[in-house]
Amino acid sequence: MSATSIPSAAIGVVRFPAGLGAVCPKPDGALQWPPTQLTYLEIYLRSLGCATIVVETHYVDRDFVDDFARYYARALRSYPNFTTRLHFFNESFTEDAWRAMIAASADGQRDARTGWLQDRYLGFCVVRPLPASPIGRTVLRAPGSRSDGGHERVFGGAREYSVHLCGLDLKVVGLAFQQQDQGVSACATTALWSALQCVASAERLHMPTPGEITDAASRYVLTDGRSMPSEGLRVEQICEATRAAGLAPLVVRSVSPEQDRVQLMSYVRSRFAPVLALSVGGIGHAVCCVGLKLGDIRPQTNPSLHFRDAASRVEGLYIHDDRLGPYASAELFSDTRPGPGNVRTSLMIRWPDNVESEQAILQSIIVPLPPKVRLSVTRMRALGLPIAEVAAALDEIRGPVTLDVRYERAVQYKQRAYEFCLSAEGLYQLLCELPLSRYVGLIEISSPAGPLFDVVLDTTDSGANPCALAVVRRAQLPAAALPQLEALTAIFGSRRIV
Amino acid sequence: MRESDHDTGRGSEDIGPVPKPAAPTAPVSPEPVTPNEAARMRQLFEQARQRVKPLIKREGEAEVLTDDVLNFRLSRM
Repeated sequence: MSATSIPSAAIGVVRFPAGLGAVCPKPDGALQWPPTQLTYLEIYLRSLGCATIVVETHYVDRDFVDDFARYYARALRSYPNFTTRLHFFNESFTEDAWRAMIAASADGQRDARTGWLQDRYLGFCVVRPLPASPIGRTVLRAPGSRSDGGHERVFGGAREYSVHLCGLDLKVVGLAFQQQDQGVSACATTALWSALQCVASAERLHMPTPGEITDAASRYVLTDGRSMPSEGLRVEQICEATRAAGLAPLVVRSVSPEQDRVQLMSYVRSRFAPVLALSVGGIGHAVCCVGLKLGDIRPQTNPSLHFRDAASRVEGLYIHDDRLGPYASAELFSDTRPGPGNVRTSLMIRWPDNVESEQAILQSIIVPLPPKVRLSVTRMRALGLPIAEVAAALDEIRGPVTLDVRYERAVQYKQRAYEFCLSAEGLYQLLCELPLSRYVGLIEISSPAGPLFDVVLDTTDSGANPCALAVVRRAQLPAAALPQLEALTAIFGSRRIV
Repeated sequence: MRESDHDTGRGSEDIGPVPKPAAPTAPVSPEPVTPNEAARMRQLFEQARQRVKPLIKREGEAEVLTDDVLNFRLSRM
C-alpha cells in the first residue's frame, strides 16, 4: 500500500478464549506488555462471559483522530491515524457464521439478526496504535444489578451508546473509559472525559475529546509550564475544562465518610458521574465514579436524631480508574488518622478477581452539573433534615423514617407520578398545572413499606429564596397523616398534592 | 443552543407513550388542618431545625473551598 492510497479494511472474527493477546500483539518498542489495562479488560470480559471478538481492522475513532491531529501527527514516528475496534459478544460464533449473518441480513432477516447480535453484545474497545497506551474509547456493559454478595448495584453514570457495525445498529449501556496516554491526556483528563460523557449527552452538549479537555484546562491556568505532554491537572483546571464544556463544576471537599457517602449517593443516583480527586501514597490521582454498591440502610448514629439516612447504604463505588479499567470495584471505609476527629474516607480499589490493589484517600468530589442546577445537595439537605426529623416524630407514621435527597429530570418525575396512586385531582395538578424546573430536587421521605411523601424543589434557585414547589403524597402515607402533611406544606408556602 | 433549553418540565423531549394512570386510591384529606395542628407542626419543625443545625453546619463545610483543595494536583501515571 502506498502512503497515499485508500486504506484497506477487514472484519475478523476471533474466539475469545485465546484472550486479548491474539488481537493485541505486542507492538514494536513496547517495554511492558501486556499493559495492566489490557489484562484488566481480559479479566472483566471473562466475568461478562465473553466468547467471541469481532475485529474492525480500520476504524477512525473521533477521540483518537483529534489527539492525532493535535499531537501525534507532528511526531517523528509515523503513527497511523486510525485504530482497530474490537466488539465483544457472549456467544461463540465463527467467521463463516458471521458471513452468513451478513448475507441473511440482506435477505429480509436484518432485524432478526441484529436482535440476535444485540442480545449477546457486551460492548466495544478501541485499540490505538500507541505502544504504551493502546486502550482507547471503550464502552462495556456494566456489571449486573446484584453483586455476588447480594449487594444492589446502581450505575447512575451509565448511558446508552449507539454502535454501528457493518451497517447493523447495536446498543450498549455503560460509560466510556480510556487509558491516559501521557501525551494528550493524564488521569484527570480521562476521568473528566468519562464524567462529561454522561451529562453532556443528557444535556445535548458537544462531547469534548481528551485533547479539547487538556487545551481548555490550560487556557487560563497553566502552572506547569506547558499543556502537552500532559503531566496532570489541578482541581481548578478540571473546573475550567468543565466550564468550557458548557457545564458548571461543583467542588465538594471531603469532610467525613458519612458526608462523602451522602454526596456520592445523591449525585450518582441523580445520573451524574463525579470525578474523584484521590491521594494515593501522597500523589494526586483522579478517577470517575460510575456506580454505587448499596447495602442495607443503617441505623442513625447521631443519638439526637430520629430518622435514617439512605446514604448509609453506600458500601462501595464502581470507578473508571485509568490505571486499571472500567467499573473497578472500590470499597469505602473510614481511615482514622492522628489528631482529634481526623477520620478520612478511604477507597480500597480491587480487581475483578478480588486481588487487592491499593488504598486511596478521597480529597474532593467534582461534579459537572448543568449550569441551571444551582441548588446543591448540601442545600437540599439543609431543608430535608428538619423535614425528616418532623416525619420521624409523627405518631401517625409507623416504623423508622428514611431521608433520601437527589435530583431527577422533571420529565421522568412526571412519568413516575402515574404510579404514585394520587387522586385524579392531585395527578392532574402535578402533571398539568405545576411548572417544574428541568431538574427537580427531591426530598423523599420513606418508611420501610415505601415512600411517604416528596418535597419537590426548584433547583434553578440557590436555596436562599423559598424553593419548595410542592409536597406530593406517596402511596404509603396513611390518611391519618394528611393534616400534618397539609400543615407542613403551609410552612413552605408550597402546593399540596395528594 | 441546546435542543431543549427549557425550564418548564413539559418541553420538547419525547416522553414516549403515556402510561395508563393508576387507579386513584388515596382519599383527599376531608378536613382542612386545624389551627392547633398547624401550630403544633410549626413548633415541631422549629424544634427539628434546631436539632439538625449542627449537622447542617458540618455538611456546609464541604462546600467551603480552600486553595489546597483547588490546587491539588492530579498527576498519577
